[in-house]
Amino acid sequence: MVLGQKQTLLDDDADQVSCCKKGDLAAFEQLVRKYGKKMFNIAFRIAGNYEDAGEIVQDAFVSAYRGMASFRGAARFSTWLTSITVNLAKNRLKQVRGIRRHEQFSLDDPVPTVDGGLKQDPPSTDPPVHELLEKRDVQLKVQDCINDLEPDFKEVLVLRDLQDFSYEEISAILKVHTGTVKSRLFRARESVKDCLKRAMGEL
Amino acid sequence: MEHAAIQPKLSDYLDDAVTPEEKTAIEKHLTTCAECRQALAELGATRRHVQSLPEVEPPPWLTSKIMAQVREQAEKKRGFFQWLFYPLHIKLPMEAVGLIFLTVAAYLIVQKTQPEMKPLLTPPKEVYERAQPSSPQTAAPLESFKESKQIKKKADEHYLAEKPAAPVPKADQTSPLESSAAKPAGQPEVARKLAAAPEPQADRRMKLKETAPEPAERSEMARKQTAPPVQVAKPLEEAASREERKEGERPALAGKGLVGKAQTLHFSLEVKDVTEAGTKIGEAVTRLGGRIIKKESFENAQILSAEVEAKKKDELLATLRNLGEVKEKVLPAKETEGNRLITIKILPIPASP
Repeated sequence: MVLGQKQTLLDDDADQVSCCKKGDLAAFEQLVRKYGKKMFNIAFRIAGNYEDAGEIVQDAFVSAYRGMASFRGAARFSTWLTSITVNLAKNRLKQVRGIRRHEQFSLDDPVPTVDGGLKQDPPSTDPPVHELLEKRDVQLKVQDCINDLEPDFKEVLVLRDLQDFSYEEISAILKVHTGTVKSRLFRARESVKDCLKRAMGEL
Repeated sequence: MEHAAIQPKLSDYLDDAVTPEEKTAIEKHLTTCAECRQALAELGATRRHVQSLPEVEPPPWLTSKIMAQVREQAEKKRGFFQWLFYPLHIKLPMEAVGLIFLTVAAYLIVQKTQPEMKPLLTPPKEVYERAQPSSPQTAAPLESFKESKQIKKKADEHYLAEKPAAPVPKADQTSPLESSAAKPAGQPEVARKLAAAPEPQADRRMKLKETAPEPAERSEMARKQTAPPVQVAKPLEEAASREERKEGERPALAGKGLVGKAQTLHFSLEVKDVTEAGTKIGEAVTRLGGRIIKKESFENAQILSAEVEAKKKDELLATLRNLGEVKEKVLPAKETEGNRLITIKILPIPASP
């Protein structure tokens, strides 16, 4: 049933993809412009770091360009690209966590900021800063709570609640069963809920 | 539905990702279970909080940086591709030009070096002329030597074969090649030897050919067969061997042609005027319905290769006899049909002693 649905989905990017396969760089640039921001946000929310997100997205697009020939259109291009981005972001996250865990034992290291998210967040473009102070504080806490999630739960939460992918799409992106997506999402939301309750007292 | 079973479904219920039956059951349960209502509310709040996170703006250089990297990749790919395929438009003409250049260069080099090579292949005229009385005729026995190697069964020819080997050491000295290139001073010595003999060496050899050899001589000859190659008649010998090779090829080329099984007839003709005889033979062959395949001219000799009908062979032979002294070297097989290949060697009549 899932497969049937996928086959009926028309890929909006089919034309650009076929142009890319013929070596049309302009077509690929269109895809970069179309999906760059979305992929950047996915990478940013999963990796939890603005600079890392930039590198992840670059790697993802270059990797997609290289693998374009092997992309047969079994899934939509956006699904395929998201899959690449999520995997790269997850790998980066694992690397960074390994380094951080290692560095925790160093006494000479400069003291890291309490909430890494503050440093990583891009400058806000919203004008009424004083009004948003409280909201921003909540956002930082939410991001911290998301950052604390295990990668497998984090990616599902990001894809569902932040990027609004359907369960089927998430299932295709992560190559896991829909049931797994549901249970992971439930556990991710529960974790964030508990985390936020701890951080804010009440929801 | 149990409370414990409902709670995990609340997340799906929030997303409206439950079956209608589940939805009914959950909604029914929520009316009675305050804990579940609270859990659902908190989940909803959590989702709202998460969804409230703003989209971040990627760095403005992101697209250009990605495209720069992609172009780099494309260049790499194309670089390899160009190397292999693309330049065919350019590479092939370039290769063609290179090939032409090489060919022309090679041709010019050969052209330039050839005149220097020529004196080595053909002895200078005056030396050749001095050795003249002997050299063209020595060719005849030498060739028969070669032929006899092929037809070992014929005993008398076998004798002939061994005979010419006798004067080999002497012949070495009279070699036009050596005498011209290496030691022109050796020439008087040769001349003396020639003078000492009542007739030219070659003629003597011809005589040996005609008379039966002594057994003792023969064994000596056999030993001397390992002597260095005879160079006296090299130009002619080479021509003859070339001729033979070609004849070897001809049957193959002719396929089931008439000359296929026929042996080539070799004639030696001694005439006063070689050129004139050559022309006359050519005419005679044409008249008899044959054709001249090849005509090779040397200083004082000619080799004609002709193809005539076997029936007309005798007529041609008669014509040859009219022109001069004919020596048949291979006995003609008794064939009356088909074409025969005939090689006629035209030599000047040797100066009488």
